[in-house]
Amino acid sequence: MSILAHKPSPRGSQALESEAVFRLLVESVRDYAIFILNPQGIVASWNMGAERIKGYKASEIIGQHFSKFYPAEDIARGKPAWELKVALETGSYEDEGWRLRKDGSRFWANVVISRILDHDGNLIGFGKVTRDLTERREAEQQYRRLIEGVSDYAIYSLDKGGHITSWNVGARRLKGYESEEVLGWHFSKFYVAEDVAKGLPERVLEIALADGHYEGEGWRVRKDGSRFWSSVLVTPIRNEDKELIGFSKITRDITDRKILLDKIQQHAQDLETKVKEQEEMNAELEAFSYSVSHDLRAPLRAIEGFSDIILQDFRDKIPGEAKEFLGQIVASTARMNRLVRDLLDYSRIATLELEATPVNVWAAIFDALNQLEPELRPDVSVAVEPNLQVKGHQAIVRQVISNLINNAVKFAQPGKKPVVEVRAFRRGDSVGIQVQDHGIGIAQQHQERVFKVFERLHDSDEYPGTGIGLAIVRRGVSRMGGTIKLRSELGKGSIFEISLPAA
Amino acid sequence: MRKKMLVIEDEKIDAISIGQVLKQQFPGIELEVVTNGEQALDWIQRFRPAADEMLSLVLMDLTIPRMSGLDLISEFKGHQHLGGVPIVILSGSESPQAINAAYKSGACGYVVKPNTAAEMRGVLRKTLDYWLDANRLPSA
Repeated sequence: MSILAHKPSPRGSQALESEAVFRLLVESVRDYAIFILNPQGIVASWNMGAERIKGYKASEIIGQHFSKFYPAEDIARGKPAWELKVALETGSYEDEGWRLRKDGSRFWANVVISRILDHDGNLIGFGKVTRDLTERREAEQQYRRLIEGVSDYAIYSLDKGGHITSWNVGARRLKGYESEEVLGWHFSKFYVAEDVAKGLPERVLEIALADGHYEGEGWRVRKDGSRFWSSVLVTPIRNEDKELIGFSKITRDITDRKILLDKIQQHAQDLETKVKEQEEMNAELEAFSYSVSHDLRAPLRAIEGFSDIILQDFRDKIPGEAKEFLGQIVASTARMNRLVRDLLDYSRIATLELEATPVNVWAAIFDALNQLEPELRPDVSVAVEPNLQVKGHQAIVRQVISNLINNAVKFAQPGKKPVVEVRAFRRGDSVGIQVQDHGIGIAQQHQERVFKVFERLHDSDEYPGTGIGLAIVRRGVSRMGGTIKLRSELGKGSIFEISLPAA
Repeated sequence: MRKKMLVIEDEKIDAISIGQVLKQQFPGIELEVVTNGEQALDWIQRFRPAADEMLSLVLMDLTIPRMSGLDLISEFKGHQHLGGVPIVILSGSESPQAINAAYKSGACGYVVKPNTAAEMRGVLRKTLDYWLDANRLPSA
C-alpha cells in the first residue's frame, strides 16, 4: 500500500477535507508515532504520538536521519536503508523490532513504512507509523517463556494442517527432538505406526475441532524409537474472528503410571483367576466329599443290614460271643453313620443355596432343646429378649444352636449333671446368641482347633462324637454372614457366642 | 389271580430286606427282582399281559447301574399295559431336586432309605401295606 500525496479537492476549500485538518488529525494522534521521511530518510514531520513514544520534540528531530531510532547492531547491518529500499520497491515495509528512544532506552516497535509517490509516480518521501508494543511483547514473552520453560509437559503448537509451529523444553525433553529438527513436521511423526495406519492423528484433530478439545492416552514414539505412554490434550486455536489458525498440543509422559496401573490390573486379574480357581477347587472338593459321604452310606447300610439279619434270623444258631461281636459291628456302623451324616451336613452347608429369611431365635432354641435325648437333657436356663429374629436359614440356625447345646452338654464336668445357659440379645445390627456351659473348658492353645473338621481334643471313648459339630457351627454361621467367638477357661467352662445379622 | 411285585434295586441288602418284609406281610405276592437298567428294560420287553396275572407295584431305586432311574420310570409310564402300575421310589437321596424329578417323571411315592435295618423294615412295612393292600389298589 502506498499513500498518495494529498490531492486538492476539486470542490476546493471545504473545511474537513482540507490538508490542514488532515495534518491536525495526524499531529494529535497520541498512540501512534506518525511522521514523514524525505526520500533520503530525513525526518520531515513529527506528531504527538511520535514525541510521546520516542521522546524527541519536533524541533529536536526534524532534519535528522531516521536511523537515529535504530540500535547500533541494526545500523551496522544497514537495516534502515534496507527498509526504505523495500518500501520503495514493494510499496511498504512492515517490521517488528527494537527501536531507541531519545534517552537511549529500547522499546519494541511495530513499524510500517509506506512510500509516498506524487501523481507522476516520483518518490517524494515515506510515511512511517510506529507503535510501541513493548508491553504486549513483554506479556507475550512472559507467556512464551512460561510455556517454553515447562519441562514436565510437551507443549507445542500446530498449524491448521497439523504441522509443528512451536516447541518447548518439555517437548524436547519428552520426545528428544530439538526445535530446529521438528518445526514444520507433521505431528503424526510421534505416533506409532499402527495408529498412523488407523488414521488416528487426523481423527485427533477432527475430534478437537468438533468437540472443542481432544483428550486421550496412547503410545507415542521418541526420537530414539523408544515408546512412552502419553496423556494428550489437543485444543484448536482460533483468532478473534473465530477462524481456525492451528492447534495447541499438551503431552505428558505417564508411562510410569500406566505401568503401575497395568500391574495393578494384572494383579487384580491374577487374583480373580486365583479366586475362581480356588472356588472351582472348593466346589469340586465339596462335590467330592458329598458324593463320598453319600456313597459311604450304601455299604454301611449293607454291613448293618446283614449283621441285623444274622442277629434276627439266626439268633438261635450262633454262639453268644459271636452275637456280642455282631452287636459291636452294628454299633460301629451306627457311629460311622453319624459321622457320614455329619460330613454330609458339613458339605451341604457349603453348597446349599441360602435364602436368608427371618428366623425366630426363641423357636430355634426351643427346637434345638427338644432334639436332645431326654436322658441327656441338662439343667438349662434360657434368657431370650422378646421378638428376636435373625436373618438366616431356618434349618441351619437350628442346627447351629443344637450343635452348640449338644457340645455344652457333652463336655460337662465328669459325674455332674450338665448346666447350660442360653442367652440371646440384640446388639446393634446383629443378634448375639450365647451358649455357656460350666464344663471342662478348653485350654487357650486349643481354642482355634475345636472349629476344624475331625479335630478332637479328647478320645471318642471319653467324649463320643464325630468331631464335626463345631465345624458345622462355624461354617453355618459364616455362610449366614455371622461370626463366632469362644471364651473358655480350662476347668471352668466355655461360652460360645455367635453373632448373626438381625432381621 | 397271581399278584406280582417288581423290585429294581442293585443293593443286595435292600432287595433282601424288601423280600423279607414282603414274605411276612403279603406272602401271596410274587417277588421279581432285577438289579440294573438293562435287566429292567428286558423285563418290560418280555412282559405279556395275562388274564390271571397282574403287576401290583414297582419298587425301584433311582440310582441303578446302566440307566437313569428317571428314564426307566418313563419307560413304564409310556408302556401300553404297564402305564397304570404304581411306581414307588426307594432312594438314598433326600435332595428336593431328586424327589421333584421323580414325581415329575411319574412316580407315585418316594421313600428315603433310613440308616438302620430296623428303621428300614419299619418303612418297608408301611410302604407295602399302603400300596399292596388289596382294598386300596387302583382297579386294574
